[in-house]
Amino acid sequence: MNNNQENRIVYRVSSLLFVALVILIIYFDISRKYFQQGIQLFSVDSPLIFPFLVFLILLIGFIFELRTEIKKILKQYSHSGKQDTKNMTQTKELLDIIVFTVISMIYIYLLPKFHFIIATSLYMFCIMVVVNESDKFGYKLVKSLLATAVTIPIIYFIFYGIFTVILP
Amino acid sequence: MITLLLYNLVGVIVGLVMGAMPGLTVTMTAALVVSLTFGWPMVEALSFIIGAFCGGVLGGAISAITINIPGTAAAVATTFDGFPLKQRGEADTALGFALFSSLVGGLFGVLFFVILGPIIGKYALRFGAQEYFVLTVWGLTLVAVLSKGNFRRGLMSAVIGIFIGMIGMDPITGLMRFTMGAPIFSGGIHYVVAMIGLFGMKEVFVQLTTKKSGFRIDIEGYKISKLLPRFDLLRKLDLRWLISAPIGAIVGLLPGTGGDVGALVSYGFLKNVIKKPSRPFGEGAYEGVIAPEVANKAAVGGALTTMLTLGIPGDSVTAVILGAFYLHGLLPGPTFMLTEKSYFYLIAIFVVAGMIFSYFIGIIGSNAMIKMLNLPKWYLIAFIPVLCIVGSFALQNKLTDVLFMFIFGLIGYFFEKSNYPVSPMILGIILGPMVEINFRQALIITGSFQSLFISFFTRPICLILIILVAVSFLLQGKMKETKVI
Repeated sequence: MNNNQENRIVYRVSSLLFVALVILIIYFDISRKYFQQGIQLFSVDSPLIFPFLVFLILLIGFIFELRTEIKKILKQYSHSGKQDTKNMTQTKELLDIIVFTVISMIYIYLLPKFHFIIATSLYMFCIMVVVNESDKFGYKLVKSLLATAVTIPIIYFIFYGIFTVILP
Repeated sequence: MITLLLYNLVGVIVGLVMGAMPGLTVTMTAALVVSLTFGWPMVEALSFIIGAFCGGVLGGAISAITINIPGTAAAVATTFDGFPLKQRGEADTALGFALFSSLVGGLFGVLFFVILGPIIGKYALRFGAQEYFVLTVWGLTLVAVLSKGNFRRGLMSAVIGIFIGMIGMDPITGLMRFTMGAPIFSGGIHYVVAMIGLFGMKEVFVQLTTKKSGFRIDIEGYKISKLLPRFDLLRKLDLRWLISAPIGAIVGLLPGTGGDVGALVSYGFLKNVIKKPSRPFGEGAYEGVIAPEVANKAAVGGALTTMLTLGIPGDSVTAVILGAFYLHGLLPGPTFMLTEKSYFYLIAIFVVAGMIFSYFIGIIGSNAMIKMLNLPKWYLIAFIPVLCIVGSFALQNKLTDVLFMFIFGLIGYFFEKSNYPVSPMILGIILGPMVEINFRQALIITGSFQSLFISFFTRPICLILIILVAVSFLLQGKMKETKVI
């Protein structure tokens, strides 16, 4: 992992937040079963003992990571001279991810309505148009259209026709 | 049998193409092909998956030699002398040697697997819950290798994997866990969905945000006649390259060390042993291409031995293959040689077929694979998600699986960007339920925490296993120190 990646606060904080979310979920699930349902925590046949061990390891790891992260952020802010370029790259990356995620979520929503061929053709076409930054707009539209028109029937034939996979 | 071999052949072609393309890892290939085989009869599915595995491992060498980017981790050592050979205008010879030595290594690996498997299987039958627990913990020590120098984050990633594996019904009491009252979680999260998301979809996000637009291919193609083994050159080489085969197989046998480590160890060993190579190592020595390729294919046999007889995956690819075997009702582990002995030999046949097919398809299809390396990135970024979507939906015909797969892709991407290794999470998802069940069973059997702890050291097999776990853990650390891993 290079320094550029190490310096990306948004990713690191998001990952830590995810770990925190997992810890909270485990905590609330264990405490609900312990306090409300009266299931013992430390008995030999307790179903809570293993989740509790998982919770402990994650919590300890999280505390250490949080400590390291706070130190890093403080250090980064005290040397924040060259942050602008990095932040711009980070913003562009995140924007790409958001656009891709939004298109994919719309696709998942439309999939049961339009079924595989139409929905996936639209999805592939949109992704190709958005991702292709090297060609001119008109040219990339034609290329994306052609690539979609060739790929989707092949995928359909291979997966549905040959492998008998049920498609959405 | 012919139909089965055809499935194997198709698997090899899929594996070779995917393995040859940088960015499309063998692990990702395995995760994708597993989901496609969900509705297939078990034997056909095994043939296809093993074919893809064999093809994928070989495919990595093609891009390693052609563009100096290993298609798979196992092909890293191949770049050391493979690419310098290409720069000297000997790309055909380098690839020819890589393909031939892969065949030699692969066949040796199968021999190793067939001889050693039944012996390990015989001893494994004496295992109880404690031994099973220690075995699964042994599998989890793989985290140290997969963490790539960040053990704490690797461990956290593995523990999150264990948590994901716990979502849904408790396997012993039937109690619902971590569902937050939402019915979509009550059936748990299928590990194949997580695998496709963490390896396939994550790679799409990574490719989406990397600036590099493609790869520069500066050779027209390979002459097929020149890819055939050059026995005239081979005869002149120091025969000590043959030692790479047992090195690869033994390294592959150790949990936590797969073909990549085997290739590096064997390359380093030959570099020290052979004083007069065809050229200096690193400058296009033929031995420098042969040694890692023999070793990484021999490691396939070693890894399969441990995986089938003990239920421990050697690396992230074999972890996915282990998941695939579970999916099709095969239960690798200490009882495998007792209950599924016929499948053991069938798997050996599939590996032999996969290696032979890989060799010939590698020769015939190498030029087509170079063309595949030229595919534009904008096409791949749109194409791979469709494969991931089809794969995740095909498992249970549920759109929620597609959604989960996508979420796992995002988690994998954010984790990778923040230096949390993703592979340990898969290891946790697959091995987690086994660790939990065996731990709790051992606890119930012994009656108390103290008795459980003492029993680990009073049961002879368990004690041997604990020593082996400690030794392999230390060995991994040692190899990391000497930059072998």
